[in-house]
Amino acid sequence: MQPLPPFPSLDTLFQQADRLAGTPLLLAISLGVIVLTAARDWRLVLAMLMVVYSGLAVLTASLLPPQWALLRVVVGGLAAVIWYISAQQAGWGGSFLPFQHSQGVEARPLASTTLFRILIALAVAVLILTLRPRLPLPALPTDVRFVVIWLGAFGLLGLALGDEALQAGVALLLWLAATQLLLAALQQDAWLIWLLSTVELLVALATGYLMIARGPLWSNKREGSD
Amino acid sequence: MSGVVLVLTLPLLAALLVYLLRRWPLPSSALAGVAALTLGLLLWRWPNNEAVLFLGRVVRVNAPVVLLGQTFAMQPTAQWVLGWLALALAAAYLGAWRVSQGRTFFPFGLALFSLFGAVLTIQPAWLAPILLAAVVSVAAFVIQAGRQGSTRGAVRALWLPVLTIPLFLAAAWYVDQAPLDPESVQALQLAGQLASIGLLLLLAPWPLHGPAVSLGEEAPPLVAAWLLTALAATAITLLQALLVQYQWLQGATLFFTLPALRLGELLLYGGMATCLWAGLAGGVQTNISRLWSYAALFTYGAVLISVGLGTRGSWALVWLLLIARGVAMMVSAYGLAVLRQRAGSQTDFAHIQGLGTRLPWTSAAFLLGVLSLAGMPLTAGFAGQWALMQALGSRDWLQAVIVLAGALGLAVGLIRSLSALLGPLNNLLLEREERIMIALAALGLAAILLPALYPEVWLKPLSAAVAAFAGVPGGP
Repeated sequence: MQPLPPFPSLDTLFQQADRLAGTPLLLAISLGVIVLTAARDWRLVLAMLMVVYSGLAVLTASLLPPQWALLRVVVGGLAAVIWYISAQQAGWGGSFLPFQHSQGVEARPLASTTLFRILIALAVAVLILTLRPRLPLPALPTDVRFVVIWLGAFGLLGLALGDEALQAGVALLLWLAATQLLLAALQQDAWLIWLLSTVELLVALATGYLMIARGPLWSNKREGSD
Repeated sequence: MSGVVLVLTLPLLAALLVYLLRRWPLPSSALAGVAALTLGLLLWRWPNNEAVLFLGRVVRVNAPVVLLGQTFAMQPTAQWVLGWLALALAAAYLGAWRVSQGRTFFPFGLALFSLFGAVLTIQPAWLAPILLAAVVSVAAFVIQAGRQGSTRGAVRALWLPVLTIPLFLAAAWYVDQAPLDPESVQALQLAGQLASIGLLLLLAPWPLHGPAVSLGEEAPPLVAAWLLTALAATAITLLQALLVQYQWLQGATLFFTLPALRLGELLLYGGMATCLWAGLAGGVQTNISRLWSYAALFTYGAVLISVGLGTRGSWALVWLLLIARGVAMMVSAYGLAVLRQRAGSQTDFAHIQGLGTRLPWTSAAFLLGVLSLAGMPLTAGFAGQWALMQALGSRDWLQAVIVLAGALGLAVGLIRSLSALLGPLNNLLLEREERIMIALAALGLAAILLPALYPEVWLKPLSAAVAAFAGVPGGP
């Protein structure tokens, strides 16, 4: 039996991953973010969260040392674990958006329909792509600038599309991920990165708790006066 | 030892002890209340720039301290505001002693106070929104308080502080870049623009008022009262700190293409819209929690107007309104908490009908507190509203009429609530108030009525506020 080869160092890993930099990486992050905003299945959302955070780690590696870039994967992974446990505790099934009941008739808010969410997400994507040459933040590298705007825009869209804890948590993490990327490009301050990562985890923890408090969403009997 | 260390560590230690004692409500609430009261009194009594002796150690309140790579220092304004928040927390604990506001409120309240201390003392103030986002994340636990169902109040509370973070960080970066090209003012203009948008989001005038209203509606009333008081005071103090540190922020525009669109004007007109909207929405509510939430929003609108007025005397008016708002919110929140508890956690008119006949003192505390929030005569809130009316009337009488229309809307909502509270009682087995509840309600009523009958009680806290804000320019 051959001895196992040594595990590649972080530098090597990120150098290998750097081959994906450019269009494939931007495509992965962009599509991941669209799915994160539009999807209704919480398991798909958590999977896409990991895809997006891994992509962000590769992008961050072009701005910061690989150890700091790895922090993106750690934060995204911990957020996903927190939300996975919360979803299990809350007894969620496949979907996470609410079904509202009104006098025995099941009525879904428009913002919870997959088609509507996809259409809105695509409209925002087209808008950003059209405005790409005129995007703000000229001080940033082109790819980073695009991803920062993309994450920020979809973070705002996620907040606009609903009040559910997981949706809001994902949207806020997208916004904070954009902030982290901005910070990595503008001022490499280790304490600020730690501080923002802590806030990201606190937001994930708070929304995880709220997911449990929300309970199984197909039963709205306990709902207050919404 | 620095005063910052005390503000950051003492509440956390007390929170730990309170958490360990959580199975015994009386000792835990008493310890939490005493800790908050002691902190508040010490912060109000200690001079900011002189050494004082505390438990055998020399404490210098304004001494800076470096923690986790960041500098924290307590300015006179932050010291005064933290003292006020600690006293407000002690008042909330006094009410929560008899009406449960969630098991976590006692330890988490102290921990939140410590975090607010970090927000108000971090240097430079650009970093404060990051800590504020941490505060609202922790606050989500006490806002929800174990309640199943809607999580809108807690979720929305996270929005604005998180959204402001990149705006402030980018503004700070542009400020750092400005000295590299002293000839150009573009960096400072961009910094002013970003900071103004960030401050607008933090101060949240209409139509950004949604998170505050949801928090007021859904959180346990005393928790909501304290958090809304603390968040408003923190946002105002942050604005003041930035104006002192970066005087070029005064008059900064939000958009280059619209130079007239400045933060001061947006706060002035946004504050008026907030007052009008709060009055209109409050007048048509059929739920006293929502009415209370809109009444709190109305006074907050008045605070924003006085900030937007931008005169040197504005800060005294701002704090007169904020203090009166805090007192009125605590008293009315106590009344609301008892009514909600007795009505089975429901506060719509159908469920509270007739409760006023069995709970007259509690109902009076609620109604008089809301009257005070609306700035009606013979209440603590009147002095501030009257001063605001005079300031607005001397500029443009229409502006004063808009605010008055909001107050009238709230009065309509209040009359409808009174009618429901005094209607026929549904639950004839409902018990009357206990003596201790009557005593607490009477204490609240005195806190509302006495400042109106003896306005000189405002002099001392206002003098302290004016002294703390002495070096502060007029407004944005």
